[in-house]
Amino acid sequence: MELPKPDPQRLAKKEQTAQALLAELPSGTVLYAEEDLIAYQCDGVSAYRQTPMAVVLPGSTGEVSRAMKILHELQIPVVPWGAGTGLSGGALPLADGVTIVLARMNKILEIDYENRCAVLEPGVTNLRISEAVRHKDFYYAPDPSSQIACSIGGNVAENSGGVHCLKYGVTTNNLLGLEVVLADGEVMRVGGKGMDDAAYDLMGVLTGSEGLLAIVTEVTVRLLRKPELARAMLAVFDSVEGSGQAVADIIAGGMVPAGMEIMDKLAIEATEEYAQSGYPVGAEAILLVEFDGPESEVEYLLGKTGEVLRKAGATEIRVSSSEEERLKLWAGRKAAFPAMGRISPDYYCMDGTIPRAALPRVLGEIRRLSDKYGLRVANVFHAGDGNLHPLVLYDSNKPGELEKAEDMGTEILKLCVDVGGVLTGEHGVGVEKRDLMSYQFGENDLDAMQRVKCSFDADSLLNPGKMFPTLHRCAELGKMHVHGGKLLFPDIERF
Amino acid sequence: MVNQLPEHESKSILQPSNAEEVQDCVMAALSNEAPLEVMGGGSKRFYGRSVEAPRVLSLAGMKGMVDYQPHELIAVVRPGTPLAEFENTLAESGQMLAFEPPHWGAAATIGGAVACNLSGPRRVKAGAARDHLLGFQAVTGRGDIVMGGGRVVKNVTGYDLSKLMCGSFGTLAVLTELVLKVLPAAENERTVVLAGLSDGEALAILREAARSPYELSGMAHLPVGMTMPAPVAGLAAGDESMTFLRIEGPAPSVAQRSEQVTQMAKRQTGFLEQGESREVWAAIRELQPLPLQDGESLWRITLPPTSSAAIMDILRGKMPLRGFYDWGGGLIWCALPASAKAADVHRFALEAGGYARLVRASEELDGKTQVFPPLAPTNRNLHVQLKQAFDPNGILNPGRMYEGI
Ligand SMILES: Cc1cc2nc3c(=O)[nH]c(=O)nc-3n(C[C@H](O)[C@H](O)[C@H](O)COP(=O)(O)OP(=O)(O)OC[C@H]3O[C@@H](n4cnc5c(N)ncnc54)[C@H](O)[C@@H]3O)c2cc1C
Repeated sequence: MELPKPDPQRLAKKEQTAQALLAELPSGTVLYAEEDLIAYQCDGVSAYRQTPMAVVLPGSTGEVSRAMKILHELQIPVVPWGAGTGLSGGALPLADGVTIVLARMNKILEIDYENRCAVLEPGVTNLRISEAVRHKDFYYAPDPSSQIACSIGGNVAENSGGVHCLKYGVTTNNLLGLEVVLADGEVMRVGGKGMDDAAYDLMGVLTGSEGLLAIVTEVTVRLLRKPELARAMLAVFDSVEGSGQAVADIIAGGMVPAGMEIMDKLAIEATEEYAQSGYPVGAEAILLVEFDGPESEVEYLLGKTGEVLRKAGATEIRVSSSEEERLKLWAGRKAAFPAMGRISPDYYCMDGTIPRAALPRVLGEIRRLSDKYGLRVANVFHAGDGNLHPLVLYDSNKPGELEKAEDMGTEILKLCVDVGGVLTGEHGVGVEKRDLMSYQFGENDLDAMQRVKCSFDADSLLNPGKMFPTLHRCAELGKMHVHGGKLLFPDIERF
Repeated sequence: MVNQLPEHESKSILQPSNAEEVQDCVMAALSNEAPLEVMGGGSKRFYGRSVEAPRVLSLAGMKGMVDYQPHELIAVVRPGTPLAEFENTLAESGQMLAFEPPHWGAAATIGGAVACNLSGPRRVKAGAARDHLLGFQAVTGRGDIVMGGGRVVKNVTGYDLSKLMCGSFGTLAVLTELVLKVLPAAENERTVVLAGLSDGEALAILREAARSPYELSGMAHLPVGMTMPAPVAGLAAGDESMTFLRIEGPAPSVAQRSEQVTQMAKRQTGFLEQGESREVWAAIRELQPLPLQDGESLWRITLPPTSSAAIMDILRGKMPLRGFYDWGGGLIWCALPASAKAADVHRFALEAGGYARLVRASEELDGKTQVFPPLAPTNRNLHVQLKQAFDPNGILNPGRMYEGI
């Protein structure tokens, strides 16, 4: 992976940029001394590092807007940063750019139970939303495993998911409104507290745009009432393929559990050592299924699912009988990434989504690749929606291992595309999967996306170097193509 | 099936049968500088400003399922597939389009439903059309065939262009294939009916229901004077309002929750079971309680549920009005007289934190009346930029949403 080359002319403007920002923003919000910038060198992908030219820590939308106006004027690129937990290098700084950190904007502005929504500054962490409304039995549904740390602004930028998104959707399905600051510093609001946007679904396009279209400065999320009851079930299988088939059977039975997660042998081992969830060490695969809702419904669905699981060959089935047990069953799964630290110095997390029917083929291939590269792979898997998380274990101190892990990751992602899936289900493209975009999308498809980029940010100042393998100039993209002479089409009476 | 246009219209109809032919039509339109009116079955043709185009590009010939994988929860379908046919196919596998799109006529196609981002009563629980479009193939106003999204239910690769397609009323691109999320249909349903409540009382109960853990999948209130299908007859006198709360799920769950909802409402109630319940919600979805009379225009206002009773009062204070509430008060459907000024309705909605849309303008109104909410300058500018990006020569449904868009 190549980092974008810094532009010497921009680098030369470092002092001027810092002074311009200092002159307009309150003291303490602009950092540009080398030692103050170290904390912002990398996000959750520690293999890629870069020190930004400066960091701005705005405290309000007005300050974001002022900073953006100055940087637009100076034509200095901007990288938005939420909490830096991203897993695709989306917040990776630019040597000739300024990182705008939204973490200080962390107020919960309003909780409106009557309209079931909360209005938040972008730096509010995901878990804090649910904690703030817990006493009223409400919560915010998308629950990424990083929810203690990640920001709602980052969630919007990545369109993050969680283990409950099969039933409750991902971030985009749980938003009502946004306020954003555009590349030129203009403030724009979309959506609101009601359902449906005014005209074009700008909120939908902004969600998942990885900081390339605008800076999110306020988020209105839908709050949900906590279900009466939630119970989790753990089933043990002789093979991952068997657990995958069980998932298909559950869905074929007309059930949509709140969550369905698969873990393979190595993942079970690592997490059990770390979190002591009581997972059966040595088993080939476990499937976690959770149902929530009215008590009678949960009981009914657990019964029905138990039958399906037994028919599908589960060798053991356990059902949580208290909230404590339920949380314990989840603890291992939720700690899957940090747990890898116990069994390997480094891991590289892939995130492709596949049609579930392709699971046996993909797992077989991953095993083959693991042998080929001599790297172990632990698999955790949002099974309901086909979102794989193969964790490639490597040691960055061993020369060449990072590159090997990257190459293997690339092969896995291409495989996901080959079987009809996609490169990323929830972690985003960032810098990490940027060069693979043209494997999944054709030139026209990428051009269409880049034209959206140009509509929002004609000078390409927001997070350049992310998502797109090659950035075309907007003026170039604006021209009309001629399709093999089709522009000279005489007439079309034949229809 | 060929679209029939009213006799007085002399537009010619192009009926391509695949994406390449759509591309040919677009390229020809570009070279002749002759815009196209993009049409599915024409059932929602009235929704939008009038489109000045010499030709209709009809998608009615592009029908049928491309790929349907019930266990993967996806269906890939051609845009001209009649909505009813598509829903029947899903039902054969025990599945449904959870956003419950309104048909508004037998000609309705899935492409049209998605292009208008119209969602029915279940939107409160299951989300809107835009939440169910996972991917697409389309021909842009540049004549490019583009793909967006994917064929899996979870995907964040690149911008979510499906969101942009959904609700853009064919002004950016012609959808030639849609990937939709499909879900298992509920095993059972029951509707709790409350009679005789004022708007304020009913909406308070609906909001309480929305805040409850009972997972309501339909919450509507019909003030006095609305006509409803037969099953309702025994439950409310003709001069009483009616409030409906739908509960779907496995039988034991439906039984439990309908009890709980009844207790919560503290009201004399009746139940509508299964088929009766379905009939009533289909009627609400199809706006049967609100048949338009001569000179009336149909408006759709989405807003925070707490504002809806107040805005109805404001409108009622200014003009004769008939209307009802869906989405737990988050949506108002109303019929307003020709004297109602569109600009006023838009302003009231914006002031209440929502958006109004003139879904069907009465004959008296000019086709250029403002249908969609006025946009703030920055917001409008982005709409113009996006139109430029996808359809720089303005050949797809020009002016349908806004002047110049
Ligand atoms: C242990 C671990 C577990 C994880 N589990 C999950 C999981 O289960 N599901 C999941 O989806 N993800 C998961 N992630 C990934 C990550 O937490 C999410 O992508 C999260 O949403 C990132 O939020 P952040 O605030 O840390 O954003 P950052 O990492 O700071 O930024 C992410 C991207 O968003 C942009 N950005 C950030 N804030 C803004 C803003 N206000 N406006 C505009 N752009 C902005 C950045 O430029 C960058 O491109 C996990 C990460 C870790 C480390």
